[in-house]
Amino acid sequence: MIIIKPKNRITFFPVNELYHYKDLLYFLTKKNFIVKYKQTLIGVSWAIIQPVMQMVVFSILFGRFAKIPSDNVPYPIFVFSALIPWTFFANSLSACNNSIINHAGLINKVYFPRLLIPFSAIGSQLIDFGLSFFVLIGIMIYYHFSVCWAFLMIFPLILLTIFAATGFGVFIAALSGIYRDFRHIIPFFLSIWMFVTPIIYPPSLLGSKFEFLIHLNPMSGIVTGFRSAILNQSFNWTALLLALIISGLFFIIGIFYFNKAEDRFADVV
Amino acid sequence: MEKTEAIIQIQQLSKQYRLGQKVVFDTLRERLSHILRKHPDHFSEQKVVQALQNIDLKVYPGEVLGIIGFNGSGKSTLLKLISRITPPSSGEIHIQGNVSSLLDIGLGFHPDLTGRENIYLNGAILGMKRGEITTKFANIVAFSGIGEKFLDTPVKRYSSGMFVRLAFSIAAHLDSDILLIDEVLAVGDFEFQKKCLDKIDDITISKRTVLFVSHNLAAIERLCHRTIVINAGKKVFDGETSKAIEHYYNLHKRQTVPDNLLSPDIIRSGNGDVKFKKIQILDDDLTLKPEIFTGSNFTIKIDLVVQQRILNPKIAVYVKNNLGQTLFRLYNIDSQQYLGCIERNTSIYCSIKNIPLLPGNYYLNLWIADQFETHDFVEHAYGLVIQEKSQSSINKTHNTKYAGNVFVEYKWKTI
Repeated sequence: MIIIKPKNRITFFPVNELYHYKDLLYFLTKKNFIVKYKQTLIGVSWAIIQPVMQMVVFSILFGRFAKIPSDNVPYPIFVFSALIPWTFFANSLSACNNSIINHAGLINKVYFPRLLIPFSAIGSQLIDFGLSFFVLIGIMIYYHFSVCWAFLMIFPLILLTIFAATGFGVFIAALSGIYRDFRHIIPFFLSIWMFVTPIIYPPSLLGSKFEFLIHLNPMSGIVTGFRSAILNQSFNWTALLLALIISGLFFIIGIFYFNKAEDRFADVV
Repeated sequence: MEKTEAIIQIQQLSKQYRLGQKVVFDTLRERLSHILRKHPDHFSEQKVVQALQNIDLKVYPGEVLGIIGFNGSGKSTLLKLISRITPPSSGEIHIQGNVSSLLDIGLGFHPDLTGRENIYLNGAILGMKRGEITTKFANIVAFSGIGEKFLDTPVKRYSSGMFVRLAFSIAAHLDSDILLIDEVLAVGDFEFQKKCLDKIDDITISKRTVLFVSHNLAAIERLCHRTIVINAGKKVFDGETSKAIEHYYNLHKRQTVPDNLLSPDIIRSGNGDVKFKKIQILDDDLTLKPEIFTGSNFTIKIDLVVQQRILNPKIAVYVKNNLGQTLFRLYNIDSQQYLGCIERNTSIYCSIKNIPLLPGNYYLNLWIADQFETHDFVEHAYGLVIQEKSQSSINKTHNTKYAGNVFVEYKWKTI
């Protein structure tokens, strides 16, 4: 029995319903992924080329010419270990940014839990995320880095990255679904965000005064976490805990705002 | 029927849209300026449109319910509310069973995906499980008739006919308890439309509940026993389909403004360089003709508002019956009657001899275009009532279902 009333959707996170529609999530994700690389000459290789090119350019510009310190590890691996989570995170947010508008035709014509739209946008980035680890292994072999126990931390860190991307992604999807301005805001917001995240420089560069401030950005904790796991350095647990808390906060805000906004999508989009 | 419980029960359902909501809140700047201005009566300034007003409706299992009404009357909104696409403003809907809505076909079809991939995606969007689609896959492909070899071709390489066939075919294999269908049959070639109607007939026989919104009154009459008429957001009729169609037609007549000016809220399309302003039926001596009889002569006078001069206009009057079928058209290109150049507001006339229509209600659609594009197209521009010749010997049956629309002189003999 379905009862349709005004303000029907009070469930914070409709787990049962999302589970019911898991096949749709799978096919939407698959579609997003296929469409992204359809009719490109080198297909999925683009997923690898993007972070690798960034790594090369950053290594030359910031590593060689600007001589930014890299905690005594080769600059390419220093920057690439941070680019792995960042590329996934930034691409997920851009994908979410356009997701509601791209699916306007569906939203106007059929019911399904709207959360599947940003979820599938993020899901289709997971494959690229996975592929970038192969590149990492290649680079680690090249620089004779060996894997140690700290590397196991990479798995909870991956989950944390996905969690953060989902929270922010869902929030952005809802915002840009209602206010088109966000389609223009998010791209340059992301490029600024990248430079306030310690990707091309170590957090220590800023001195102890700003170190706490920089970790209010959850990507900061995540990126340094990845670096610690890959380069076998000691973890900054405070930063990681802070990243978890802030990501969690945005996850709640994101889902809550999305639930509030989704009723309006069909009328606005 | 009273004893069985309703499968859909709608109580006092209303939906309001704030007119201009799209514009007002589409950008952040406007939202912010709205907050900052704190204009207390800003909302009341906006026109609130009552898309649906206090609708009560019960639909019983196995019923095929037709929903008709003018464009913008709220019938599609009703389906959107039942299918949970948009929430109601007040009221409740109780539904027993699972609902599939076919407000469009081929939802989510992506041109770059292959036929096979699109079947799975579209099926999932319509609420099917992966296993279910796999089971039905062979049937879906067979029904669509697109052929195995096209299955792994991106659908952008399909002809539009194939695209529609495949899309409908997936929809036709849904087996939810309740189907909501909106104008799906407006697409595809005639052959395929017939196939779709037959398929819906099958669905009807299979004792499923169907809510069917359409402008195709012939299809409504064929499929539905019971039909509701929605006008300006209200349910104005609920009952037997033939009576509902009659009621709907009477609404048409009322919509034409007395002095035959086209009402301002009429549905029209085209670039507006030339617009229809007024339509009148005149006698041979160009005085207003109050009544038209079967077989009589009359002249249609059409007043035009001309913004932009137009050379060799193409102009047509479509004469339709109350099921929405075109009976014939009066098209100046068909008869090679060229009208030269129209430069300023003017009237044009079309005279008709011996109108071959049986008594009944008809309506006229008007269309004007140049070589390149449509200037104006008005649906239901005029409700034409043909009356019975007083001392006539012609067929007196009014029921077009059996008598048809066309008047023919004939004689029966035994030799």
